[in-house]
Amino acid sequence: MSVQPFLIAAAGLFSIGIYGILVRRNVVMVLLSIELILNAVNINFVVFDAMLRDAMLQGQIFTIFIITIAAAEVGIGLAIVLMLFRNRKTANINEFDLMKW
Amino acid sequence: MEANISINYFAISSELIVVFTIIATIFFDLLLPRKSKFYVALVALLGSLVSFIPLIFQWVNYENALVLFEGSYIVDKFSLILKGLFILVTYLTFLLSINFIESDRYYQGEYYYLLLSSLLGALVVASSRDMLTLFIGIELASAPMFLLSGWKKGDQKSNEGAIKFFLLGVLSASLILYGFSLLYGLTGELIFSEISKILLVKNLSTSPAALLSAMLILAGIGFKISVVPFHSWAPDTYEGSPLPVTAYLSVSSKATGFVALMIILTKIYPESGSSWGIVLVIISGLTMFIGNLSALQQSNPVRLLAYSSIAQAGFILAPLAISGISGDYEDGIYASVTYLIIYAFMNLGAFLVVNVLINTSGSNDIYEWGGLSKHQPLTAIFATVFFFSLAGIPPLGGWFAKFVVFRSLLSSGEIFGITLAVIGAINAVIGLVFYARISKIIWMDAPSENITVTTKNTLLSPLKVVGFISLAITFMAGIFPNLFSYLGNAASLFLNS
Repeated sequence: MSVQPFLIAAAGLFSIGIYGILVRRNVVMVLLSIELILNAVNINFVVFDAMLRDAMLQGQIFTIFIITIAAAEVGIGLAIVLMLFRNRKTANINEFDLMKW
Repeated sequence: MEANISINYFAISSELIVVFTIIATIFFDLLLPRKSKFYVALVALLGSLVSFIPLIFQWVNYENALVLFEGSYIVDKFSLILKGLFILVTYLTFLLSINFIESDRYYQGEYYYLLLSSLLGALVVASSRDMLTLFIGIELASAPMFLLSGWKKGDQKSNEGAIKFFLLGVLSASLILYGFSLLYGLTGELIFSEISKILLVKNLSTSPAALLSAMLILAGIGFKISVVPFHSWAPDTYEGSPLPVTAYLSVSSKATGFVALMIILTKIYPESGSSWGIVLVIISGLTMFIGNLSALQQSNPVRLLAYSSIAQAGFILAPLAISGISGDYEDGIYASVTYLIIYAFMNLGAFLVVNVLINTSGSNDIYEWGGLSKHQPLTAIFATVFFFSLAGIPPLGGWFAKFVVFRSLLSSGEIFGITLAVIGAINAVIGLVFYARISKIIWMDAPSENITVTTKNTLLSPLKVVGFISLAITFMAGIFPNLFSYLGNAASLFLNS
């Protein structure tokens, strides 16, 4: 099995995620971009696990941990976004500019 | 596969005590009526104090490193010193918090729960020797801090600081993970010692994939320790957070990041030191300059301390960077950790001073703090000691920390080391300008007319305890630097285990 297509797909997802973080203005979309990066990592781990035929399945176990942590982090993130939205009535990153320098 | 698990509970007892304290705080918060929530704080204080005790017994018992969980977790003297630091810093942060949390409408038991969770993460990081454990530790240490930095729910600055911290924190975690996934693909192992062995045997230490993973991990941890160019979140988050949380962020969170960085660099990439060393040299020099020059222009004391702590991170990073180039990891780690420990206590003291003076004057502008020494003589003495220590004036602890760093930089004999030492010397002078300015304003300037000084006692007794403990450690480190020789032995054990 050739692993290259999978790795390229993961690298693509990673790049799309970074691009989204830099360009998207809506906080929720930025959160989604971060999810894309984490899923790129997941694909990497699973593909490497299959490629190496790891007897201990370390890559797959790592993936499960990442999925769990990502869920917890999105929970925290949405709580913060909700709090911001209540106080500001906006989720646009450009408007979070109370503090500079 | 037959699993045969025997766990040495004694070796992980201080982590277990923290876990029990976490459960206890959440239960007490649930069960106690609103009036007596004060006991939650007492439980947290007691728990963090008790979790320090096993460290002493482990220190006496374990002459050599103890390997647990098939190499994933190591208890050695180096990790014990760092755990002691984390626990002590958390204990002092609790003392700083008690009255602060109570004085607001924000008095809630979860505060202690979250801070203890962060402590648990830091303890795990100090002992971890595989990618999964280290990653869980880093996340456990930083995820509660996202919530704590947004603690002042109604305050827009706090909200903004929290979202910036959160987005960059999660991004940094995913960068670290991508680096880890590349390492796993290269070697098929998660445990650091196995990874570095395979990198060495297959001659992959300087392969593009290994270096890419090193740079991704460096960038990710760079966010955690807020070095230039990954520092932009730090001043905003520090300004928005409640002050005790800011103190914790600038001390313990930063220390956790540094410990993770040291473990990763010396345990996974000892052979590619010349590559990451140069990157770290550049980062370290830039961090010192940009941190100090930005701090010069600040009038808000919290932002000033934020930039000052960025600049101090440059000093902590410098010996580590040079050790990569020269290959003398023992000296680099000894110098970095010495600086880290002394920095922790003097910075906590500085935040205590800022906390008290903001409450006394009601002003967030240091230029309006004129003549506060008449109202708060003890705080003014604290201010002078801690700020001069941060600047590196003998005989205070900050002087010894800077001395160790410069000795490490110069004794390497590398051209980069000498360059960094020169940059460090210039920055020590720049730093002295704004550190001394605060003392000058407090002692010498005429009282400002814009502020009304409160007559209430703002230096409450828990704060006094924090002040005196930090003061004692700052002086001890400067007058009896021999204490740190233990650390040198621990560093060599750490590298050889």
